Amino acid sequence: MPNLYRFNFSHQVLPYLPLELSREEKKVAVIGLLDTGSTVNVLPYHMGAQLGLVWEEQTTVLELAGNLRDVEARGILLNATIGQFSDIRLAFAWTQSSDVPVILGHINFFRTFEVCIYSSQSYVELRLASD
Amino acid sequence: MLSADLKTQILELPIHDRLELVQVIVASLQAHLRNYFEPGMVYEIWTPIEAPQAADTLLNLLESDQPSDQPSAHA
Repeated sequence: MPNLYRFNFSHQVLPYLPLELSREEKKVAVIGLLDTGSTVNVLPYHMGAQLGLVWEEQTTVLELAGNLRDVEARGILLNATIGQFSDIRLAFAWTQSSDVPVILGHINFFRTFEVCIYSSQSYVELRLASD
Repeated sequence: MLSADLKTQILELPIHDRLELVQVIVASLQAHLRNYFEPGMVYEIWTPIEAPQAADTLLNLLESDQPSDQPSAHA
C-alpha cells in the first residue's frame, strides 16, 4: 500500500484534488479544492443528489460561515477513494447550493491526510496522517 | 531577502536616485497586481472559515459512524 500520493495541478491555478466519492452503489468522480482555510468539507447539492442523497432525509443540521453563511447544510458521511490509498470516510457539509465547489477542509480531510502543497511547482503530496 | 551590501548601496545613493528607485518599485508592484487581478472580475471565496459548530457536528457524526468495511478516517 503506497503511503504517498503526488498529483499535479499545473493545468489549474488552484490545488484541486481528483477523487471519487461513493455511497452505497453510487459513485461520482469529482475534483476537490484543498482549502486550508475551511473548517469543514463541503459538498454541493447536485453531487449529493447524484449519490442518491435525499435532502429531506438528512437530520444533521449544520450552520456554515463565510460566503456560505446563508446556505442551508446537512452533515453526511461518504466514502472517498484518493489515489492508491484505501477508501476513507469523509464527513461533508452537504449544501443546498450547487454553485459551490467541492471543498476539502480541516474536518476531516486535513485531519486524515498530511498535505504538502508545492505551489510554485504546482503539485501536491498527500500522506495518511496515521502513517 | 535583500543583502546587507545592497541595502548599504541603496542608502548611499543620492536622495533623488532613492526617490526614483521608490517610483520604479511602486510601478513594478502596480504592474504585478494588474497581472494578477482583472478589473470587474468576480473572485469567489467560498471558504466556510470559523464554523466550529459545524465542525463539532461533523466530528460527532464520524464518531457515531459504525463502519462496516470502511476504515475510520478521522484522527
